[in-house]
Amino acid sequence: MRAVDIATSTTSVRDSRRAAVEAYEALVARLAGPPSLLIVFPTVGHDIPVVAAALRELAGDVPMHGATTCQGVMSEAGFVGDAGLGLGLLGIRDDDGDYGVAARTIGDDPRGAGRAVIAAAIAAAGRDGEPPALVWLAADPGFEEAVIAGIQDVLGPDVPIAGGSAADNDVAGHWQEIANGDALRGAVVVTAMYPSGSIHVAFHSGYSPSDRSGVATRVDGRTLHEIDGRPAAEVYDEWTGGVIADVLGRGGNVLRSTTLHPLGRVAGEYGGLPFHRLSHPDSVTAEGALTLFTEIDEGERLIQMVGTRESLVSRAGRVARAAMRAGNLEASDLAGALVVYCAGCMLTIQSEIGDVAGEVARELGGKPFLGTFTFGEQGCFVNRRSHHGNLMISVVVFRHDER
Amino acid sequence: MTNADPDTERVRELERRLALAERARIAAEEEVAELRVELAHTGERARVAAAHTERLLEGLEVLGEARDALPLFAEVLRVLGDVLEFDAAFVVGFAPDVSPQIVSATDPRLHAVAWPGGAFTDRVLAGKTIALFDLAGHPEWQAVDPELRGEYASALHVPLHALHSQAMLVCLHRRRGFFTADRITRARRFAALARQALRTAEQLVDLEVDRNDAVALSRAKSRFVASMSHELRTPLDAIVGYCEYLLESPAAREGPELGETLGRIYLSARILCDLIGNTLDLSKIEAGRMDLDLDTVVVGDTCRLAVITALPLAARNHNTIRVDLAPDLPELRSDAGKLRQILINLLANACKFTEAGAVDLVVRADRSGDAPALVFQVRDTGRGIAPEQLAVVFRPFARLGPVDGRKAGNTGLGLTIAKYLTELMGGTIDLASEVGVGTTFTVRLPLAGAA
Repeated sequence: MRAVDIATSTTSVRDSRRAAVEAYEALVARLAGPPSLLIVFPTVGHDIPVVAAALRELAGDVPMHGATTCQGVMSEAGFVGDAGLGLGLLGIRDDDGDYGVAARTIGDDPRGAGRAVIAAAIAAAGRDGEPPALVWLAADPGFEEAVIAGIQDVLGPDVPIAGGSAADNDVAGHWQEIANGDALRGAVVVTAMYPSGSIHVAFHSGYSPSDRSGVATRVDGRTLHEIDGRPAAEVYDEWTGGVIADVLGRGGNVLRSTTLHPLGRVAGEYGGLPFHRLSHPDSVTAEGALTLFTEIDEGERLIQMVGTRESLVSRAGRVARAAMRAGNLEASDLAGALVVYCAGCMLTIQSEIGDVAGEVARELGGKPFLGTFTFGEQGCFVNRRSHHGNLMISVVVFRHDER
Repeated sequence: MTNADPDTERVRELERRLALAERARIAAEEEVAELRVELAHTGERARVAAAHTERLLEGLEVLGEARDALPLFAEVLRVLGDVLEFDAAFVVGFAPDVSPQIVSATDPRLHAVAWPGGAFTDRVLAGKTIALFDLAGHPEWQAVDPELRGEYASALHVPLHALHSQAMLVCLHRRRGFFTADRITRARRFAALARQALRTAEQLVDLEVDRNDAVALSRAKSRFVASMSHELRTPLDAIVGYCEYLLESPAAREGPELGETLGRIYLSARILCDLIGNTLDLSKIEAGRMDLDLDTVVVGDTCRLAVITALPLAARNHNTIRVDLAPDLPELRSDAGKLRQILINLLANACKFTEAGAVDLVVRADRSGDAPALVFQVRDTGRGIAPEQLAVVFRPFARLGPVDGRKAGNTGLGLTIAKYLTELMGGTIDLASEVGVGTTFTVRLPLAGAA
């Protein structure tokens, strides 16, 4: 048997318990045995406690990590989400690896929760003091930067962190997390992965910088009040040629109309070329501020990024290819992959989401992968630094064995 | 319904084409950006790979020429320093019954580190490469110099065992969590090469030692063959000579000296038997065909039989043999025949090298340590053994001093056989000697029975 084997199963069965049972049984059959780690992505249309409990009943003490996904999941078999209802499982079978899952309530100390949850996950893996090959993360949207800072307080900045924030189908706040059979709200879930094969990551957006930029001159957490001393919504509307003109002055949700025009910040530079992490404006306040899915700091330069539907369709496959190239892998080396795709992008190209799954499957040579649609993405850039961003694609590929 | 104004149509058409061109521009820019990143990434990887290969080849050249561990460890540190980007590193060497020692280090201050050892170190020495993201919180590092822990935040521990050496490479970095999975993999790969080089160096040294031993053994065997032919011929010539004398001289067959002549023939025949017996025993031992016949040994009887056998040799050099058995000796489960042979060989050796002196056989039980034993000591008041000769006493065909043809039975095998048999019975044999004062051989046999 190879060191690391991966399988996935997806279902659009509506009954939550039956969906969990059928998906788990299919997964175990494909893996030819129980997994060492179980990843779970249900949509919020499912009864999440029932899904979690059924999987616990079937999988016993197998570490279990999950978060709700927007509208459905994607895998090598395509997109699965019947009227916004779906469930996807990914199992890693790795007798020589160690995996530990832990969860903490974020509360009013997200950084402290980050510190506590990574320590607990490492202890659960039985690898006290040892840096994991990857920290796999899922959290309520809202405090991901602080959670990552907490994890890095413990591990330092070099250990790659990847994952995606929990999502629901319509930004109604119904998202949940799953850890070891428990369904949670307002929590952060972390898996400390010590696989016997190697792991490689890529983190990109499907956007390019335009020549329009300004400095964030007044900010309050995730609310951007002013750019270059003027109301942020007004500046943004000018930059984008009026995509939010209909809500200026009265406020309102702009999530869908801003998807192809996010704000970017330079996250680093590689080979003389800057790469960006993105902030997605989700609403405009009556006072003319933009609210975002990420924090930004006063003084940061914001660049208006531009994307196209075509790039959102093709980009996930390219990120998967970049992850494989990072490890110099051929498809035959590959056990499988986890894919995090921004829910905002998915909603923009919803009718073509099957093509996104097809692009990823093609790049991964048909190997098993499971994709979730998230309200915030975490990943590790080519300069080995991990960040939280919006409208991003994060891919983790698992090699069968160590190179 | 009226047709649209041609200008309006033209504007719409231009807007549509502009939008298409804009999308194409964005896609092209994205493609260009991606290709630039990939180019930079591939270029960087090629540069790093070339640098690593260069360092590796340089390192392999040095490692291939190394004949002992110290320069080899120093080279391992030099090669890995470029590949793993550590801030400092040292190699800890481990040997039985000795505290771990820093055998090589990138910084002279690191030589002062007192490595504590423990369960974590044992895991590394068992073959695991382990990184720690925070030294301050680790139990085994708690015992290391606090100044070092204050200066460095994270560490990587790599096993460097070979055939005879056990060592651990410790890489240090000032940044917490610096040694990530890819760096661990890189270290493991390079360390495997270092281990192979270490093994090769040790094998070369072993081969040289083996070759020297083989040459010495071959010379000793040649000497032995020459000596044996002389040793065998002396008693054989005596037997043949006396027999011819008796056959050719009827007066001698009937005269009063007949008893003395027969006694000489008998003594020469006994010496010949002992010589042949010892040689055959050694052959059996070397072929691994010597078996133990375990039973309860009556220690007193075994000692008495050994002494009786050795008495003629003692008498020849005007020695006396004294026996001192402690009362209430415990029961020994062993091979009585082999024990007797050990004692005979030791007593015979003592009698040969002692003149007009005393040879004592002392037997005591020793229950003081973890392994209770029955202790047999053969002490003589002979000429003693020079310190430089102590190491070769038990080697086959070794003789102490010049060959003395008059001392029949001196084959140089008695002590070798005594040592082999003692070890076969799970015991140990030692000697202490002082020139001009005497020699004491001590055999310890475990009371629990033979191994």
